[in-house]
Amino acid sequence: MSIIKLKNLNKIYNENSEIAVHAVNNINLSFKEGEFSAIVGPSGCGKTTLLNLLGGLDSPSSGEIIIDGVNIGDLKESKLTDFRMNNIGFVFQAYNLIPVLTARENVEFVMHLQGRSKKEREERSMALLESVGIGDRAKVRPAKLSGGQQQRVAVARALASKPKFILADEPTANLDSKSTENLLDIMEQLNREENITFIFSTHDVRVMKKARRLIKLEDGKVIE
Amino acid sequence: MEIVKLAWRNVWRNKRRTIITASSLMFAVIFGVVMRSMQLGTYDHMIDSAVRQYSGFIQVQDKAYWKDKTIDDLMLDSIGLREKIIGVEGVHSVLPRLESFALISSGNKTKGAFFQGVDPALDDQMTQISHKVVKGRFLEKDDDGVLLSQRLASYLNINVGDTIVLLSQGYHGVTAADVFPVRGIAKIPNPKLDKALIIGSLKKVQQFYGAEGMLTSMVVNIKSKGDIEDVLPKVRELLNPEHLVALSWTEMNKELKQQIDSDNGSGIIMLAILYIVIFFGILGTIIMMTAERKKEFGVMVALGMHRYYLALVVLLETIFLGFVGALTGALLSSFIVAYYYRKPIRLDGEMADVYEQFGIEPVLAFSNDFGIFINQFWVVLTLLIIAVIYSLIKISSFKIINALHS
Repeated sequence: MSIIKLKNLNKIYNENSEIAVHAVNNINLSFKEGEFSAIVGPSGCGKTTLLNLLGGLDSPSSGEIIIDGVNIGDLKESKLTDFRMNNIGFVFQAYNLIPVLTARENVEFVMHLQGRSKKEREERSMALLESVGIGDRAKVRPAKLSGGQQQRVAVARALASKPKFILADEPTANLDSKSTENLLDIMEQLNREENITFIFSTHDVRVMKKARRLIKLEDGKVIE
Repeated sequence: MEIVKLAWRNVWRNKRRTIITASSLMFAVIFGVVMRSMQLGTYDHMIDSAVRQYSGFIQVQDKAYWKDKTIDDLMLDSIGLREKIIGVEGVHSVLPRLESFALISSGNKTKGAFFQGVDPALDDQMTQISHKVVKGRFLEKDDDGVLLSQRLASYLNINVGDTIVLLSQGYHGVTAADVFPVRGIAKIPNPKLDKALIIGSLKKVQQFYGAEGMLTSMVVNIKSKGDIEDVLPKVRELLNPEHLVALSWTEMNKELKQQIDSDNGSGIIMLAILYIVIFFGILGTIIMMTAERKKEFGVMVALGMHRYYLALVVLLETIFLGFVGALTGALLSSFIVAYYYRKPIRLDGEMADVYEQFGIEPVLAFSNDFGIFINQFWVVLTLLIIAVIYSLIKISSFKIINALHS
C-alpha cells in the first residue's frame, strides 16, 4: 500500500526570471510502507529538492504530494509543522543535532514537542540509543561524539516520534567506511525488523547497494 | 527537554560572548543605579536641608506675606485652624512660626540675622534642631532665651550664657529691641542659615515684635514628602481664600526646584545616552546569535517545533541574559550605594561654595530607594525585549530550506 504519492510534481527556482531552474520536473512517484529506497543521481539532479518537497520543508511550484491520504500542499504552516513532527523523520547530511542537548535529550526533543510523558521519553530514547549502539554515550553532547556516532543519534532522533517514514539526505556523505557500514546495517535492520520506511538521497555506492529500490534522477526527471 | 533548561543552556553556549554582553549590562546597571542614587540622594538632601529643616513642605500664610515678607502681613494664630489642619490625613503636626529679620549685636560686632519664633517641642519634631545643639541646651516652651546658629555665634564670638541685643522693626512700625540670654548653640546643616539664624520661643518673639497672637506662617509638617499632592488641596479647602494661602515647598523654593529639575533632566539624558549605546551592543549580540543559529532554528522547525515556541525559547534566553547582567549589576551597585548612603561624599572647594550659595550642606548624599534598582532593572529588561524583536521577526519569517542550507 502506497503511503506517499507524488503527482505531476514540479519545483522551479527563480520561476519568473531568465535563470529559472527546473529542479524537479513533472515527477510522478509512489512509495510503499516498508520501502528501503534510494534516490540517486549526479550532483544537482534534484535529489535533495525532491526529498525536501517530500518532507514538507519546501513547497512545490505545482503538483501534489499526498502522504497517507493527506495532500500536504493544502496544510497551513502550523498544521504542516505538526504533520512533519508526527509523520516524518529526518536524517540530515550534517547530522544537525542540537549542540546544547545531550545525545539522549536530542532523541527526546521531538517526543517532548509531541507532549509525551517524561517516563515514555526516557524509556524510548534510551531504547533507541541502545538500538543504534550508542546507549553508553547517552549523556554526551554532540561536540564530543564522532561523526558516525552523531549520525546514529540523528537516526534515533528520527525514529523517536514513531514516524511513517524517514527521509535521509546523503546520510553517509560525511562518514568514513566503517561508520557508513555500521549506520547502513542499523537502518537496514530497523527496516527489516520494524518495517520502518527509509527513503535516501545519495550518490554513495554503498548505500545504493543496500537499497532495495533505486530511483534515478537526471535534470529533475525520473529516468529509471 | 524543558524550555527553560534549553534556553538557559543556550545562554551559556558561547560563554565568552555571554560574559561580555552580561558585563556590559552589569556596568550599565551599576552606573545607572549609582548615578541615580547619587542624584536622587542629593536632591533629597537638598530638599531636606532647605525644606525639612526650614520652610517645611507646606506653609499657610497671610495672602500678602509671601510677596514682600514684611512683618505687617501676619496671620492670626488660630488654634481652631491648627486643629483642622492636623485632622487632614497625612499631616503630622502644624508648627506656628513668627519670623523676621533683626540686627544682632554683641560687644562691638553687629550682624543682620534671621529671628525665628517657634514652639520648641513642636518645631523640633520636624527640624530636629535639638540634635544639632553643640553647646548649651535646646529651648523650652516660652523660654526667654535664644538658640544661636554656630557660625553666627562664632562670628559674634558669643558663648552660652552670654547676652545678645536684638534690634528690629516690629508689627505696624513699632520698635523692637530687647536683650536675650543665649541658651544654646546649634550647628545648622544649611550653611546659609548657619550664618544667620536665631531661634526663640514663639511667645517671646511675638512679644519682641509686638505681634502677640500673630504668626508669619503655620508650617504643615507632613508624614511623607510623597503625600504633598494629596495634603495640599485638602489644606487649601480649610482656608479662607480671602485672607490665607497654602504654599507648597516648590512654590517657596522655586530656584531649588528648578535646579533639581534641570539637573534631573540632564542626568536622565546621560543615562539615556548610556542605554542607547548599551542597546546597540545588545542588538549586535542578538543579531550575531540569530545569524549563527539560523541553521539550528531551521532544524528545530523542520523537526516539528512551532515558530512561536522557538520564539519563546529565544525570548527566554534574552531575559536570562538580562537577568544575569542586571542582577549582578544591581547586587554590586547595592554595595556601593549602601556604603555611600552611610558615608556621603563631602564636597570642598568651589563645588562646596556653589552648594552653600544655595543654602545647602555641601554633601553628595546617596539614596537607598529600592525603586532606583527596580527602575534600572526594568530599563535593561525593556531594552533587551526591544532588541530581541529582531530575532522574533527573523524566526517568524525564515524559510526552512534557506535556514537548513545556511
